[in-house]
Amino acid sequence: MNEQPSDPVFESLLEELLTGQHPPDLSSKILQAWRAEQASRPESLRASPGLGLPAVRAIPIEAPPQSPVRSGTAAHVPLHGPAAMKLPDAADAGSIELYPVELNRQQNQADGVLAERAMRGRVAITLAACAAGLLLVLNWYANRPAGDELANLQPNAEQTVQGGPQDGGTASDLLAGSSDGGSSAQTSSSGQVLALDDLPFPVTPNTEASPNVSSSEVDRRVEPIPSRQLVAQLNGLFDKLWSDLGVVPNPRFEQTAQVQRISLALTGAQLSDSQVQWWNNPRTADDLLKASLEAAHTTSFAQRWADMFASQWTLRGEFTEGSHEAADLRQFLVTSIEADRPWDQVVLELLGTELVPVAATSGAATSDVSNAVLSVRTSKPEAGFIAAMAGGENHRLVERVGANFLDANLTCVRCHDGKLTPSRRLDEQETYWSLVALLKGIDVRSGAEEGARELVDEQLELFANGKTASVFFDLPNGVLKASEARLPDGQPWEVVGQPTPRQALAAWISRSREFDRASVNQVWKFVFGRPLVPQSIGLENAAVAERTAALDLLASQFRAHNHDLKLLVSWIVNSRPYSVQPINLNKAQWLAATDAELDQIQLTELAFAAGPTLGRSPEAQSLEASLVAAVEWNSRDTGEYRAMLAQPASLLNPPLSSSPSPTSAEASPLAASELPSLGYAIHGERQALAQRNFVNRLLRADRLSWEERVEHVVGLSSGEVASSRIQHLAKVLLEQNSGDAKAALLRLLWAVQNSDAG
Amino acid sequence: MTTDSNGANKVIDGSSEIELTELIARHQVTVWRYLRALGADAALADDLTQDTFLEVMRRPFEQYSDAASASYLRRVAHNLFISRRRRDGRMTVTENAEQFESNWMRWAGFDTGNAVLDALADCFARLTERAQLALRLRFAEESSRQTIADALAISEHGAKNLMQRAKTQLRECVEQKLV
Repeated sequence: MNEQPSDPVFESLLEELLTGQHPPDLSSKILQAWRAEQASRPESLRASPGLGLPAVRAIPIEAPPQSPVRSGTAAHVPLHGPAAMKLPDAADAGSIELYPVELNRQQNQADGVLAERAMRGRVAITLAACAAGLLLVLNWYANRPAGDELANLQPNAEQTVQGGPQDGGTASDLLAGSSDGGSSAQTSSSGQVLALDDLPFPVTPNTEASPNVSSSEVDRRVEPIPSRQLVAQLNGLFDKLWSDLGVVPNPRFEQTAQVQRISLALTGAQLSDSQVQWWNNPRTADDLLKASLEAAHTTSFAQRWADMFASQWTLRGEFTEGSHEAADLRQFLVTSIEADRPWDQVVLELLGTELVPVAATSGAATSDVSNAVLSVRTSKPEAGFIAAMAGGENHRLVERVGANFLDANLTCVRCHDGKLTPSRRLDEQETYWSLVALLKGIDVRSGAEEGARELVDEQLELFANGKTASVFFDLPNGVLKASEARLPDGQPWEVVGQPTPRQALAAWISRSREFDRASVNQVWKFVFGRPLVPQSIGLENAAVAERTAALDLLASQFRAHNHDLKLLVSWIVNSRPYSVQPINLNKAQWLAATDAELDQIQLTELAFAAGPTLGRSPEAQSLEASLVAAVEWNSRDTGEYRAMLAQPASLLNPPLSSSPSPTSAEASPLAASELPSLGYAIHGERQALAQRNFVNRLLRADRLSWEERVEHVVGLSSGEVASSRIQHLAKVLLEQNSGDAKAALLRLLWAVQNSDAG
Repeated sequence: MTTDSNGANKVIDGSSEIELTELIARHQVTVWRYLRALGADAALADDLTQDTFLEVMRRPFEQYSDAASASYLRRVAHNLFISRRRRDGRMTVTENAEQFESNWMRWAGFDTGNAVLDALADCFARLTERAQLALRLRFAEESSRQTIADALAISEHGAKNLMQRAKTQLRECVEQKLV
């Protein structure tokens, strides 16, 4: 594609035909930009209000002659009849921008319908106020305060302060409004539907909540299923998934080997001889589940899993491994796990603990909490997470809260709405900045001693007496926008009933479905090396729907079982995917394998039909290590390895179908030779269409420099940043690929997805 | 569209969203394809299509005919594209607006390009499988000439010739269909 086409119009049409990249419908985008431009201009400079726009309007014009419908093009926007184009109105855009609502109202005034609308509005306000007042009283009665402030912090599945009705049940349900938070209509207690567009006051925060993060679903109850039944259901989901994909799961481990693996996963310890002897006799699945639960109640389990969570949660934090603060945090987790504390309460304390003011030098507490200063070294150990991540406008804190507790990669949405995840409120740029605003007042400053850091909490003062904090950010089109402190579902933080926004966020998270999913995904990742459903879902779409169903099943049962971490881990290590053997592919077999066989291996691993270990280079524990593996592979001539196929057949291992043991593989002369990482060879060379599309989109964005493109790819890993070392390695990849940015970025993408932080 | 109920030319001055909506509905496909033909990638074409309409709405203009409006929009889009390329420090070989415009009129004329696209789809289906594969690799996969040659087990020069012949056949076929 380097030469200049002699007939550019014809060639571009040919390209459109072959790529299927047809003109998008930009109508609403252009209209919104036009409205924004008008709204930002002084009144005197605006275009005159023009006609009032109904929500749906058929434009009485003659449409230009059109060819038959071609999907994906904007040329076929219907202009007549029932399918006439729906103009983007306030209801469409109101969930993000408030100005279209204002504009609509001004237009109504210009049309002379103000009086009628105002009257309807007054009626609506009166109805809404009466209903809200009545419900507030009922809600207060139903949820009288418990007295103990800590009790307020603790999640209560019965409490529906932010919940909504699924079946129109309780008064407190009704207080939270309709369960379809994205609807533009609200039902009053009398059942009358009030169109929000008609109300002469701004849209209430509740109506802004995205249906995907509806707070009403937070308190939906799920009946707990017995563990054995749950594992059976989970296995059934995977059986179906494999069957649908046409994947044959690897053979299962024999019983003793399986128990050994479970023991290693749970406690990091091998079975004793007597235990091995006991397991050498046939046992039932129930026996295995019981044994797992027993192992989960040991100190070794608590220490191992506390280590893993502490390391994961404090990635990119200020604490160094082995530091006093890291040890304190780890000990807090060990104690919590040993004490069987529900995991939501652990996280609630981690994020919402009272930051008791402690003098940095003496460690003496004061009673003045309005301007709390916490010396990290003398504070509660559970404050360690906040202390490790806070500072610098708290971007790192927001991103890590998203990655660890909301199952969301918020790195990208700092600058633009998420493009690799299903549309949900958490993936919107505005939500990110509302979280930044929510954490205003939390900061870190230098301590009295050299190198000391002190955590500052000024939220009580900052948010006192109904004051709120706003932050400003740039939209992708350069327009400056303000965002107020809001919870992830768009509600004001005050609805949670906590003294500070940070504590409100902690309470919201601990009650949310997102937290349940994040916990399951993390545990799954600790066991399998990668999450059940990745946060950047748009890049790995093999059987995503089925995997999401499995994730939802585990998440809902995790909640139903009172967030019992030990149960969750036991379910996962007793599941079918953990009982199947990894693919014992050695390098010689890789050389001998056909592309179809390698494709099948890749799919088998992506679908968890092969046990954990493969698909990841043994050395790929960090992005840097993973990237080095890619560079190393890239520096060699693939043909050099392929040439080895010319060697006598006796040197090669048996074909794939015979499933050789690792021992025999290592004994091969070729296996001992210098060959690249198999993880890269299998997965790095086979990019999914979604991955290629992602890189293509990055390359099409002319405004991005090479370094910014690298940042975008690295940003997919919520635990890593594009450090100078990473940038250097990425540049090496670019040079190795003779300046082919696409090839280099695809290799970088593999490294990101293959690393532990990915 | 071009005249009001009294038969007068309509002035578009940005005062009415309905007029803007109408304008966008009629011409956005043309503008987008025009920008793509100029060399803009899809994302840039999206951006500049939006900018084109905003730019036009900022200054009142009189609509004589759809063709005149389309021509005006293309001119604005062309200028915006050139400005963007210069701002980004890139060379543009399509700065000869007249030559490009004539090329555009040859294929898209007063249409949005849909007619050519439909004819192209028919003609493409008539090509040999090898020619189809070569063009698909070239345009959809952005493969290098060498890769295409490897895929077809021919020389690089052979791949180039094959694609040139295929495109010539396509042009002739489309022209016959559009007559």
